[in-house]
Amino acid sequence: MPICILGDLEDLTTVYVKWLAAQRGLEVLSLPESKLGESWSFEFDDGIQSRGWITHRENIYRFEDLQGAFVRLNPRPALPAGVVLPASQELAFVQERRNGIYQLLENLPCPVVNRTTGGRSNGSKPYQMRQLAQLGFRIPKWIVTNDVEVARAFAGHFPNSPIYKSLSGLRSKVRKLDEAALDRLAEGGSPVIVQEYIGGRDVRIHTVKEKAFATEVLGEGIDYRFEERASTYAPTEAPVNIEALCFEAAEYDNLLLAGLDFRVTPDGVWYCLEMNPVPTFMPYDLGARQPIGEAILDLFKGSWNSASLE
Amino acid sequence: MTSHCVAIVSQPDDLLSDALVCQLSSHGIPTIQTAPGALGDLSLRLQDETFSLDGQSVGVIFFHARPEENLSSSFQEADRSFVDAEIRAAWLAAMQLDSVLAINRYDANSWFENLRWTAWRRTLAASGVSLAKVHYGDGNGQDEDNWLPYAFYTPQKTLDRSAMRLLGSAAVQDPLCQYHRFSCGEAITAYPPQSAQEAAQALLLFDIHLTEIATDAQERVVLANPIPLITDRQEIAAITERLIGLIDAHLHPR
Repeated sequence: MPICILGDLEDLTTVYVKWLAAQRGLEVLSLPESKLGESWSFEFDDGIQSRGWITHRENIYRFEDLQGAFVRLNPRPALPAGVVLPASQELAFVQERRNGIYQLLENLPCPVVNRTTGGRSNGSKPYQMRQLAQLGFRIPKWIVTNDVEVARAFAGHFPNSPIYKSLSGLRSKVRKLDEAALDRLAEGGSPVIVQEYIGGRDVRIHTVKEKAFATEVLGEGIDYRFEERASTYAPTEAPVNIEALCFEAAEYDNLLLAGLDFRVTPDGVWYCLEMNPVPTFMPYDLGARQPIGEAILDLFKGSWNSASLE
Repeated sequence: MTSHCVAIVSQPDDLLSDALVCQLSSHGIPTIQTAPGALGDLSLRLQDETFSLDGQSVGVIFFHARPEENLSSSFQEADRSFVDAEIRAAWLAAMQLDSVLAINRYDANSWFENLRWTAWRRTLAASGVSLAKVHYGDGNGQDEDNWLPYAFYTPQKTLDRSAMRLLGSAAVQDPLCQYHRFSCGEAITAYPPQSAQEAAQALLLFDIHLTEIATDAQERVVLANPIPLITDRQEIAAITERLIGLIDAHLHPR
């Protein structure tokens, strides 16, 4: 019974998971998005029972034959080889194909890491932060505005300069709110999130269903993800209640794999910053030697009761 | 007199929105009516449980447009894609506030699926509403199948099997026959089948107050559209009356 690796097969995380699967001797069905309709195709009805199959070259795999699916989709999918379209039609073509894959992922009965409907809250940071707060996480104070005076007034409430970041996650480097940023806001720009700055340790918790992997990130700057000097990673402990909240948040957002970012203050207060539905877990897996990739494959081999997985 | 305004986002030629603005005005309820492309021009503030536009507190949002539309026409072309995403993210968050009545209140799934029929089919299926079958992907050779593009609400001409395979497209066997419109769970169009009524009630539980349900010749629900284009004056009057009631109850709780 194979597992599927679907989407951008050149993505590093995809390559890593495929390598791990090979180490285990698992049969892997590689389904590159660019080859949909060429080397592979799918067919199903979304009736009461999820039935369908994937055809890969000459082989047919019923949905119930699949152990699991690991998905990484390229933000800019390419046209299939040999397909040439006017620019006005290219976007519609690509979007129709992408939506078809979304429907496939939603209807596979096996564990899917992650389904399209998983983690969409991440597309709106204020939406997600409100959701995380309602679930019980402590989150920094924040405001969304494109009004420089509103931003300035909010910033004045804090002894340390707050940070600002994008709402959608695009161009999402976190920066300190300085006069240059306020000047740009004054000139007329898109809304930003201005957020209370929390000093402390960076901790990422990856959840894979009911397993949690807490990693301390030793980096520099406001946003370690974008700093030039490489960060280092070390396993750490998270309080049981924080882990429980992480499991709840991931399940609430239909995520089998999630990456939750925290700032932990010197006196041990855990602030949740965001939940990432497509976490790049390799640095944590390899850097801190935490078997996140292995845990994903454990999902697929039915280590959990399959009836409880979806 | 309320201190909160109603924010209406719709295309300039939307008759339903214009009628709503008129009625709200006659009720003394202030409105901010904006085309989607002009959203980037509004001064916006979202904090805790408050949402304001141009300094006015917003108590109701009627977002009668697709989130995928251009929302930042006055910005430079190179920035529009980014700014659109930011504005989209802000309005989704604003719709979730307890202080805001959103008509309709979309969640992240429906919003980032651009309110297309695929999101509503999942909602209806999960609610136990009986649906007509939709076939996805490689065709099974039924020539009479109607292609249902993911980006539209009406079936198009049949695609051949190779195209279905290449696109992973969806198809329905029977053409869509009737479109039934509901406001606040009540039928606006005459004699909707039981299936459509059940679908509208199911969506109402998810705060979808305005919807159009499409059924096939066998009266099976095929899809739902939360932003129907309504041009019939009687329907507009009926919908507006119900929405005004909903808005009034929210802004002036007794």
